[in-house]
Parts: sequence; structure tokens; C-alpha cells
Amino acid sequence: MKKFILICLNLLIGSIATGQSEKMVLPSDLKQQTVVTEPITLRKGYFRAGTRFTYIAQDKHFKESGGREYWPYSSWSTSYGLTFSLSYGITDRIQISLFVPLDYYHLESYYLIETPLLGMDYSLSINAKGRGLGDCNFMIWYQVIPEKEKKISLTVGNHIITPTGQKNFTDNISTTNKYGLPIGNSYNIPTGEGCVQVAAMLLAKKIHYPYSYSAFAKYTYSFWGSKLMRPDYTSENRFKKGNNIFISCSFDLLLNDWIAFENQLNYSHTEMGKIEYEETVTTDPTWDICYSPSLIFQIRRFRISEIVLVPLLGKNTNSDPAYSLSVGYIF
Amino acid sequence: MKNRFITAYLIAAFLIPLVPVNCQTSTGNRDKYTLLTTPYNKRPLTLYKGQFQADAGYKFSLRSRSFDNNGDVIDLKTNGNASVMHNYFLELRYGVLNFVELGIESSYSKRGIRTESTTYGSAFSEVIVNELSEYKGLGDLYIYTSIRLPVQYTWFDFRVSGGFFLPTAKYKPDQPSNSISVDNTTSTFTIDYKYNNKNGYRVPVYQISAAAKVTFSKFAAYADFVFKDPLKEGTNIRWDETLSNYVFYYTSHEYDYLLDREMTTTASVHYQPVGWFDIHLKGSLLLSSKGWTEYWDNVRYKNPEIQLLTLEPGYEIQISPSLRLSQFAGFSLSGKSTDAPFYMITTLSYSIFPFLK
Repeated sequence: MKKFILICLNLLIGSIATGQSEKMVLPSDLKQQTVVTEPITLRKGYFRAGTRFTYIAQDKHFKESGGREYWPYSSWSTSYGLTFSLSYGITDRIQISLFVPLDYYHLESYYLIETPLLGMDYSLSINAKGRGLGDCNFMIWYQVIPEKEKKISLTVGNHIITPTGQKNFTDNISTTNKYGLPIGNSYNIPTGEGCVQVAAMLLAKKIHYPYSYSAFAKYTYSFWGSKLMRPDYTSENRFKKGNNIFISCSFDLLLNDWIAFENQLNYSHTEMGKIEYEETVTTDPTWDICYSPSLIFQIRRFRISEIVLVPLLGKNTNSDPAYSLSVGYIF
Repeated sequence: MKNRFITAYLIAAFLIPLVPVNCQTSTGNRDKYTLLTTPYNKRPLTLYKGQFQADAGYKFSLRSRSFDNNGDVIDLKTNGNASVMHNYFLELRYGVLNFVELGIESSYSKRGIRTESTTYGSAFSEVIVNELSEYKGLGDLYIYTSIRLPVQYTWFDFRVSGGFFLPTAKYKPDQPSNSISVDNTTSTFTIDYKYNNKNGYRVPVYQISAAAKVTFSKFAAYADFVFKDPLKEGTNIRWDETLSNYVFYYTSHEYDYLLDREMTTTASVHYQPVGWFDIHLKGSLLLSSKGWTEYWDNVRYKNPEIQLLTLEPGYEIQISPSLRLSQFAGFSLSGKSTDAPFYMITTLSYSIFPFLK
């Protein structure tokens, strides 16, 4: 009986016991990880090259008193941005990135002017364009607490924005009719901010497959710069953009093995800025809260993202949704 | 004996874990998932019996061009009245039988259309006048039934549908919210007219349609014809304003109208390279006419006859058995007396068999 029990126990152990197995992780698999499952920084020796297209049509804005309203004037403004990026994993915990933006802005305004005293009516148009290199920027990320099972990863980073874009209005041309009245104005809109900005970043992420949660905070300090504040000005004025606080929470989930759905809630607050004219004047502080859903397709080493940024609440800032499409490749 | 016993024991100990034990399995779930993941080129024109589907989507339209009554393009940006439209829609469908489907849908949209700002100048002051017409709110509720051929879909299908737009949405425009502001330093008066319109039809509108679909291997072709017509004339109000002492006073008056009769013909070609991905190119022609609107002194003015030819490339992805994503862009190719927007539509479809285990 004793033998029989021993035999049965042995058979039972044999049927359920599993031996030590080696998890096969190939570099090519790691390069195909989704936005949910990948660590914050690239692994050592990996590159990611990407491009991102963004489109905004300006239609509405958040008022000083809060609330949203249409721009009342008969003007139409659009902006397109194409940003090229290159990231590299120096080690498994350190990543550097370079971003090169190409911007295109277009503003068209048309007004009808009626002057009953002169018995005349005519149109006034403003046509402004800006295209060219924007402000190139660099990022460095360091994983202080790297991704491990059941633990939150913590990453710190620095962001430096350099004033490589054209900072001044150029080619300001006014046209007048035969009576000397202005009927048109055209100029080039600057594609750069005209100042250096430095930011400190903190990012925490937790993966709980098939979900991931993250929280992000960024503080951007703007240095003093100088530029033409209006198209018709001939001399530059010193200015300081307001510093910015940006906080974001994200909840991401995998819809299947290769499509992720990302939900971000962002808060941005820009402090009061300063402009030195004959007297120093201040610019209004702004804030907004935006929701940003995105669909991210991981097709082998390609990553295609579609992102919509929807402003929900705010003050003194634009309230139009932005659409972005980005493509990245890891190698 | 003992050795033989030990040998037998060792053999058994190695072999038993390797013997697969297959229990009886149910195939019901697999069938359900097969139905939910049926690719477009093998899918009939109505839902399967017991299938429930919710389609939620967003349409972003950019209205920067329009066509005049000769079909020539007008650049709305040069009139300063280009605009965007946001439209959110939800459709719920249920397959009563394998060839009968019930559906209900509605939408919410908003857009603001500016007219060219006008400045009236005089020797000592100027008046700037801006005008914006906003259209915002829920649309009417559309309920419908679809019936297709009561045969299993292999390569040909045909469907007829009929339904009503019930006048559930608000249709009367709210009182305008005009405002006036004065800048005493420059003696500039700015008057902002803002009209608050709604999206309801006010009257019941019926819609009937017929559709056909043909599949050739990985290709499929689809065509439909939709006819939409109001059941009766409607009455709505217009607001007039008077400005006195920097204060606006409003009065409303009624007017009658008849909505346009619309006919839309659509044809599309689909290619299904793999089971989870469908790519398509769709063309549609909208014709609209027969409507009228009362303006001054109750005189009826015929609405302009509208034509619009649109091309829509797009795709559909099966994300999971229950989820499908489709996106397409719309380009207005030609038309008459209508806007020519560019638009993008994203739809997420959630589909289940709620009563099937």
C-alpha cells in the first residue's frame, strides 16, 4: 500500500512539474515592443528615426473669462508642422533624442472697408506666411529606476530648445490704392521663438499587461531673448516668455497584440511673460486642460500613431483640436 | 519482479505527462467569433441574427472651398469665412434575423460660419461689424429597418432599407447673443452679431434605400441608392434685432420652408488583402432639389439645386473579435451651389452577440 501511494505521488509530481525553461528574447522582438510594453528609453545601441505631421486650423479660443468662443474676425489661420526625430539608446537606461521641426504657417484675413464720407468701399487683406526650420531641440532621458516586474519605473530628463528658427517678421510689404489707403499687407511669420528654453522632466510608468499607466511632469524655463514683436516694427525688443508647467497622466491599453489605445489628460500653465518696450509690459498667463486620445499601430519595427489633441478647458489660449500623424522606425 | 515493476513505473512516469487529455469541447463560441470577425468581402449587408453593433465616430470637416451655381470653385479663405465642423455620431444596430436588421442613429455637430468683417469709417470714429452664425446641437433621431436576401451570402447580396428621421432635436434658433464694445481711445465701436442655430429638421423625413454587393475573391464591389424626402412643410422662426443705446432688442417672426429632396448614389470597390484589413475607394454623388424657403413678405424662394461628387479612400481594421476601426477621408471633386469640404471620418465599431453563450 505504501509503495502504491509512493508511486501515485511520483506520477502526480511527474505530470505537473515543469522544468526550468529559458525565455527566448530576440533583439528583433525587443524592437517590436508596443508603446504599452516597451521601457521608457531605447535599449543600448538601438536607433529610432521618425517623423511627425501636425495640423491645426484656428477657429476658436478660450477667453480671458474662461469659456470658448469663435474668433470673431473674418480671418483664417492654419499651421502645419513636420518634425523629424532621431533617438539613440546610449545604454539600456540612457537615451538621447534630436528633433528638427519644419513649420508652415498661413494666416489670411479679409475685411471690407466702407467710407461713406468718401463714397468709397474697398477690401483690405492680410496675407502672412511662415515656412522654414523651427526651433531644433534635444532631449536626454535617464532611467533612475528601470522597468522591472511589478515595479514603477522612474525616468528623469532634460529638454533644451535652441532658437534655430527665424525669429523675426520679414518682408513686410504694404500696398495702397490710388487714394493712398491701405488695401493689403503681407509678411513672413517667424517660425522660431527667438529664445533658449530649458526643461526638466520626470516620468513614472507602470506596466500591468495589457495596460500601462504613466505620469509626466515638465517645467520649462525660458531665457530672455529679443525679436521684432510686430511685423511693422523695425527694432527688436527684449522679451521673456512665461515659464511653463506641464503635467500629464496617461492610461494605455493594448487592443490586440499590435494596436494600442493611449489616453492622455494634459494640464499646461504658462506664467506671465514680459516685453521691454519703453516700459516693460506683461503678457497674460494662460492655462488649458486637454484630452489626447491616440491609436498606435506597431507593425513589426514600424510604429504609426494617430493623435488628436482636444482642448477641454482653458484661458487666454487657442482651443482648436490638433491632429497628428507620426511614423517611426526602430533599427 | 521488482525490477520489472520499477521499469514499468519509470516508463509510466515519463509517458503519462506527455499523453494529451482532450475533453469534449463546445464549438459555439468559435462560431460566434467567426461571425464577428467575418471580413468585409464575406460579410452580408445586414447583421447576423442576434448580433448587436454600436458604431461611434467623429467627423472633422474643413470647409475652405465651395462651388457656385455654375460649378466654379470659390475659395472661402479669401472671403474670410472658411470654417471647421465637428460631428460626432452614434449608430446602434441589431440583427433580428439573419436577413432583418433594426437600427437607430443620431449625431451632434457644431460649426461657426463667419462673414467678411466690415469696417465703416468716418472722420472721427469707425464701426467694425463681425457676424458669426453658429450651428450647434443634436440632429434628429433616425430609425430604420433593413431587409436583405434570405440566403447565405456567398458572392451576391441585395438589401432594401427604410426609415424615418423623427423630429426629436431642437430646431428653433436661440435668441442671438449680439454684443457691442467701445474703445474710447480710438473711438472704435465693435459690433459682434452672433446667431445661434440648431440642427433639427422640425418635420419628419423619410428615407429609403437599396444596396447591392458583389464579391470576387479578395475584391468586393458595393453600390447603393438613397432617397430622402420630407413628409411635409415646416415652420421655424427668424430673429431680428434692433440696436438702441448700446442694447440689442430682439423680435422673432415665423417663416415656412420645405426641406430639399435628396438622392445619393454611392459606389465603392474594396480589396481585402488579409482577413483583418480592408481597403476601399468610394465615390458618391449627391443631388438635392425641390425645397424652398420663405423670406421677405412670405415670398417663397426656391432653394438652390445642389450637386456634389465626392471621392472617399479609406480602410477598415479588425482590431479584436468585438472591435473594428475604420477611417476614411473625403475629397469634394465637383459640384454646384454647395460647400466643398475636405473631411476625415473615424469610426469605432463594437459588436457582440449579447444573447449567445
